[in-house]
Amino acid sequence: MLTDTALLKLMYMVSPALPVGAYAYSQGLEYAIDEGWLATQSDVTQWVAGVLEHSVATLDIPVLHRLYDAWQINDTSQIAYWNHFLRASRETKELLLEDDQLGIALQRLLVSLGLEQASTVKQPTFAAMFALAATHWQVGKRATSLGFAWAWLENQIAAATKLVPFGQTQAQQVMLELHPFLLTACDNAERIPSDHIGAGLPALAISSSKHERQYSRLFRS
Amino acid sequence: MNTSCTHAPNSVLSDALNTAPKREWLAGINLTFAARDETTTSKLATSKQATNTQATSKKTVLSQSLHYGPLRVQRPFYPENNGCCHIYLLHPPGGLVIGDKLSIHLHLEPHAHTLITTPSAGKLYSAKGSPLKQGQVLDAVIQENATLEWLPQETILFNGANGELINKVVLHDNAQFIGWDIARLGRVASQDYFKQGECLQRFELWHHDIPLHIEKTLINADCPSFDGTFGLQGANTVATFIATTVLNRDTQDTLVELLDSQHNTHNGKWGITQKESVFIARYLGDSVTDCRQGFEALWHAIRPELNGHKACSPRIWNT
Repeated sequence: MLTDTALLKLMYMVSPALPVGAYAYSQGLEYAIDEGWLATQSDVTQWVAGVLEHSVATLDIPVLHRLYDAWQINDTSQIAYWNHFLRASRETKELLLEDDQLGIALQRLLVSLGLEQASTVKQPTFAAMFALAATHWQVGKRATSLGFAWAWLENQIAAATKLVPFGQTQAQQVMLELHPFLLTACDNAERIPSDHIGAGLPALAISSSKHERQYSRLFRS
Repeated sequence: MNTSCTHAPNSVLSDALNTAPKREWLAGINLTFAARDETTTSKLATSKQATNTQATSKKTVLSQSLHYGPLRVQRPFYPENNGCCHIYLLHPPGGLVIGDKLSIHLHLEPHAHTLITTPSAGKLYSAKGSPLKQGQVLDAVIQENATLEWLPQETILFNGANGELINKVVLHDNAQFIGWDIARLGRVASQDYFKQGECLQRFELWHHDIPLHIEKTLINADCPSFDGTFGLQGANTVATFIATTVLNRDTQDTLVELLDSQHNTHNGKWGITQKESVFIARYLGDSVTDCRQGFEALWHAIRPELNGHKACSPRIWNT
């Protein structure tokens, strides 16, 4: 069970107000929408659900679990291994840049809050720092992965809301519609063996590559 | 959620290939390449020129070749004048049926330079519902200052295939790699569509024990990602090109224009990105010909940046 204290810490970690700048990235959504691959609310929902199931659940969350376990026993070689693995698995320059920027922002924040261990990781990914915060504040592993996935989803929906004529209500409907997918994604992520961790969605990778060269952009590259 | 998207964790590929062959359908080859100083000099050269040649020229030789099962190499070719060793990798049966596995181990010693291709497309035939995996593992170690060019023809996945195509390349200091992996789903010209089956494409590039790039694309005909806008978009050709080179923005822009203008029919989409020390290009579309031509164009453009030598296409590509 999540204690009240741990719940408060988790809410702090997944708040869009956490000063790491996640709002600046769309992860391929901007190009896909701009190019007309995604035209309707349903298209966007399927894209986000697909990326959640076939990338976040097969790469990010399983790696987050392993980083969490490693931080619990302060196994620095495993922390370094999975941090490298996640960086190597980023499909494009842009997606790696996003992870690096978020990771370093969270690292600075955690160090300033007294978590000196954060500074031991070189080129930290966001997941590496998130897992450290979660273990330090005794947020359980399941809650940590749900929170991580929720923050990702919330950010994707916020990006989609800026890019397509989603009304605020529609955006909230999509968010709630996708909540059950977060549970499935976390369930699947718990079962995946280490040598099956990874992702490769060709269209997402190409969309992100094209976004790097998109003429006019709302989101960072 | 569709649980059929999960890659069946019953793979025996890696384990089986790391041990001695236990079944006759396994085939493997283990090649070692070494750079030797060229001691022979041209008879026409003056003694001064000959000294210069001897001081700089290295020729890569196939110093060891071990194999089991039907997997062979032809005698090395030297179509370039830079000592680069061209190798044709032959699999006489021509395709992999249920449970067939090919294992390719490459070891490039310091300063070796090898280009490997295949004379024809690889084929993964229908597994006819068998859970046994069929496929190929490339395991390459490239030592200091050596270069591997891994340029096989595409692999055709027949309807019902149950495959794994695994490439792991380990670089030592200043080692270089340029290579691609092209999967073609079904044979559309013969009305043979990839309607069932799966194949895992895995590509890993490491510098010693640090991974530089890892990707794992699961092609599964029953999975929503097969047709999904975020996944394969129903395309029949999916391919990745990787090179250990850093291209500046202008060069990248030129390459994008080249690909988009000349190799972009049949709903093809190209993406290129410079991820730290690794240049990556991807193709997703319905023309393996466009993909091959595009990758060859990239190779011609990048090879001089990589090792100072103009690309020299293996003659077998023209046959």
